[in-house]
Amino acid sequence: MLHRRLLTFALIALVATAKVFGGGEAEPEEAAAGAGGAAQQALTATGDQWPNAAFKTGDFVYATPADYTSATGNEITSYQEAPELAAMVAAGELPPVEQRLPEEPLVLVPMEKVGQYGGTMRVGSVGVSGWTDFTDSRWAGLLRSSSDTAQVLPFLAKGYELSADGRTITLHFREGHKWSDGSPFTVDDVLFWWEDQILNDELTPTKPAGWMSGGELAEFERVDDTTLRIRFAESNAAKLFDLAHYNGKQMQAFQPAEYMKTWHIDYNPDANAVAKQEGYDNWWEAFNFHKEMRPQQADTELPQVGAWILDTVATSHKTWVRNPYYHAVDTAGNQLPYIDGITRSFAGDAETLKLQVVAGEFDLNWREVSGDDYPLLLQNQESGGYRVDLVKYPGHLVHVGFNQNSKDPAKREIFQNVEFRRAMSMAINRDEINDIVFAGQGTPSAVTPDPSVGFYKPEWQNAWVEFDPDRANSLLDEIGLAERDDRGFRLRPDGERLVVIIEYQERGPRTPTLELIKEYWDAVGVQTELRPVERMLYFTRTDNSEHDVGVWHMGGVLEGRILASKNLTLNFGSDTAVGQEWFNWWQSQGQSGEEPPEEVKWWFEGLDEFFGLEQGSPEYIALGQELFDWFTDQVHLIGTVNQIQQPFVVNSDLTNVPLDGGVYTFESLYTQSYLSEVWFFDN
Amino acid sequence: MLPYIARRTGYMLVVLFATATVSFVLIELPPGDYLASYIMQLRETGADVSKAEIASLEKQYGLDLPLHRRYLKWLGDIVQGNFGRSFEWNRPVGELLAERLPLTIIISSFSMVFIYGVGVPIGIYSALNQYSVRDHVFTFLGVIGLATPNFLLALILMFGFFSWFGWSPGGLFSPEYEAAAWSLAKFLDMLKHLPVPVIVIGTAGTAGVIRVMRGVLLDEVRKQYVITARAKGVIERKLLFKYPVRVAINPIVSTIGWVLPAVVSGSTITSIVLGLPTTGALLFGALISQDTYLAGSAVLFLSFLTILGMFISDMLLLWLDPRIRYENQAK
Repeated sequence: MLHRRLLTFALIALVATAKVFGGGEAEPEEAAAGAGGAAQQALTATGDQWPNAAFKTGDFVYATPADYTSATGNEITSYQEAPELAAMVAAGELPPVEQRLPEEPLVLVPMEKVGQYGGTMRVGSVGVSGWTDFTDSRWAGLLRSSSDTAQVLPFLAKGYELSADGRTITLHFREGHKWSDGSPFTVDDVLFWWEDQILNDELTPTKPAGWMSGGELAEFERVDDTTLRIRFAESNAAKLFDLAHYNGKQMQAFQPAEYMKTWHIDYNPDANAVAKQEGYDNWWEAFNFHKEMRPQQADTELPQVGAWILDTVATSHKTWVRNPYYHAVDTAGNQLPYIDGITRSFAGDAETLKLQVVAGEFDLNWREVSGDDYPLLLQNQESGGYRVDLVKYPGHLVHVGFNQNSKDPAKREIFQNVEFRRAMSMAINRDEINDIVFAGQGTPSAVTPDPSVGFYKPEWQNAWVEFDPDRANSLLDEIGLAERDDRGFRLRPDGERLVVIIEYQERGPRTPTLELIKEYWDAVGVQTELRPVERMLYFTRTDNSEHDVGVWHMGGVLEGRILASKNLTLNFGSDTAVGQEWFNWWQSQGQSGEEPPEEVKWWFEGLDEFFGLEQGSPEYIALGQELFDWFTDQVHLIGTVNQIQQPFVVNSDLTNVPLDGGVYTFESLYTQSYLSEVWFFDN
Repeated sequence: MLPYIARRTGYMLVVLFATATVSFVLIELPPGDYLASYIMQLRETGADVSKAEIASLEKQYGLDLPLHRRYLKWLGDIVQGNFGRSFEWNRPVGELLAERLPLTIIISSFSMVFIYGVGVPIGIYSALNQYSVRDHVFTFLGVIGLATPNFLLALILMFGFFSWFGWSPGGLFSPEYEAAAWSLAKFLDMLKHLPVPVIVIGTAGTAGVIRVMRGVLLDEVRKQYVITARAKGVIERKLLFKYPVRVAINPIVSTIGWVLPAVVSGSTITSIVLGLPTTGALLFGALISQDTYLAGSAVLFLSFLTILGMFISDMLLLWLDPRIRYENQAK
């Protein structure tokens, strides 16, 4: 009896474990699926329509009221606030709005019209720990990225300067700026984060690479209450873009010092006892819990600076409410944001969530709907009370790359041959992929930086992408793969059949695209096999260069993203891992990996130099073009179709939403760079 | 009686310990850990994570410790009533389970009432009117209910209720009531969301109860003691409910043990499809993201309830069925 029960439990657990291996399906589709069977509308980028694709975030942001006045001649004469805050002021629970705002608030221009206060943004997600739809909009950083990521705008800091040598960044904060609990937000909060969190070895055992330059950590200097200077050992101009993008993934390069000191051993000798009381073993565990402001944030007391602050935490939902101390106003002097709060519901299943979207239960959804749902979404627009915009996925949803560090010496030699890669690229019929998989909603293209990038060259898009199987065949013949076996497949120089295995994690439009690619490659005599693998296995294999061909999506092609991520996208070590060992060698400065050939070294050195140059300067553009001329000509990554249109569902009352034709991805910080503080429900 | 209970309690503790160990090891078996799956998630959105950051996060989550030390720490904490913290939710596991329990119990209680309230009377009716038209109809419906996968039924019903009545699909509350305090409107909103899960979870269970009830009762009513009683002129209704029905209900009572964990976990797959806030769905999410302590504690908790349920059904049987009672005394 006992044995039987034990066995039953083991089985239950085993089944559960098997579910983990099978994973994947319940994950939110962040890259979203293909735009199949849908959209007929073409993207119109005309300036006279609104909302439109020509939106430039920078045109709607002024660092201070003085800037706004000098640029437009209009003046902001008084400040107003949301009714519920006015009631609290009247009741004496809150100081008046003039005292809550900094002396010089940020001015945001409502795109269509000055809004009205009210409403709750209802959003839903399948996962609990990821960023989703609107909730990223609550995040405020030192600087802000424009929606095309090419521009760095004021945010918490009203201004910044980059020294001529690119080694010093100076940030200017606002006088009288306050945290959501009313305490002052100053340079000291940044210094606390740097000196007591990042430089503390318990809290940060390994220092973040993003703050290293020339092998040395940055230096922070407090000039006065509102001025901060950050110095790097080498030129580090690209760091500005990193600061504007989730502050380089640390989410916030500042902490509410006064609040956090309770859990910091250097400031509170009893910090360990406090931690014990809260159920932690060490002070730094409690500190890490309280400081958390990523989507896992659970401390509702933590002072914040974003537009909405965390209010309730439950296993079925989270809610945020307006930050009464938010530092921005509109052109009429109304304190932002307009929308009262956010409710994020956690759904169990993507299909159910989709049904809820169709029923109009959410005010915004992008992640759980894909091109396949476009007809269903359009059909229910009226009954659901929403409209469907089309947004753009700028990069490739599917691109492939040959592993040039393959463990098989024969394959390695073939994959390193540029003529081979060009032939394989030209063997692909991208128009057909676009029609069959993406309903004609994409653009056939090589893997390149986005056309919005300052140093972009249009010819990159056409680099070796013309469908020309004859030329592909003759190239393959020329490089020593002319011999074929009785089934018509090409033989390697060592006499074995050349078999290329495409390993990939099944997701979105990958399978249909890759099935077509297999046909094209088989047709030019290179036998190709598809092998779907679980994503953990995919990363284990690609990280160790054990694959032939890697497959991933490529979103990081916008300018700010290329600069902020430094080396990590559009490169050998990207997720397709086309030269992982070379990349490791370069990253570890020769400690691990394999020494790359000279021209690859040239590329790595060139990139390092590039990231130190001032964005938009002639040297920057010249070097950027030189580098990507080489990268695209060498076909290190093989593209299929990019610039793909995808549906985006928004409540039809929602106004000032400039999403149509825009980019809404991790790179643009989802809705955050579209100034969601000025969105409102017009009803 | 007392030694019996003491012996059973001892077994229970041993089984619990074994379950804790096996489940912890099994959860840790697949390659990677919570951090790895979190990093995968970041990489899929397009974020990049450097090796240095991974090391920092490992320390923050305590994942740099070897498996046996994490296991001992977890076990030690549980003995003290602390279930550890969930990585993904960044909250104490005990708090998460406690939050999910009441709603799970609400859903499950409604389903249980549905299962037994519908299943037992139909079973009795079918047995007494064997091969009648209604018996065939009920049997047919029961088989359909048993054979249709729950998730499919859930999707169909959800879509049906949405398009016919315009009732909000999925979840236990509409988003606008999700965060609201309890009120009549919220309660009514919940009632609107209840029929689908109750019917879906209920149909499969009901079919089972009908079949068992019908089968056993058919056997019983043909037995000689029934015929004798009937010959003696006992009123038919009294006769039925006092003797054969009481016997026939035995197998159902003995399965109550399995019902307890089901009540607490809620039907996992149905919960996921319908987006119900049950502990089963919570456990599933924890397994997917390899949230070790949450998954381990949830499995342990459910195992505990299974064992407790077994114990309770044994006690119930002991009380209900004199045959078992005498057997025990004879030993």
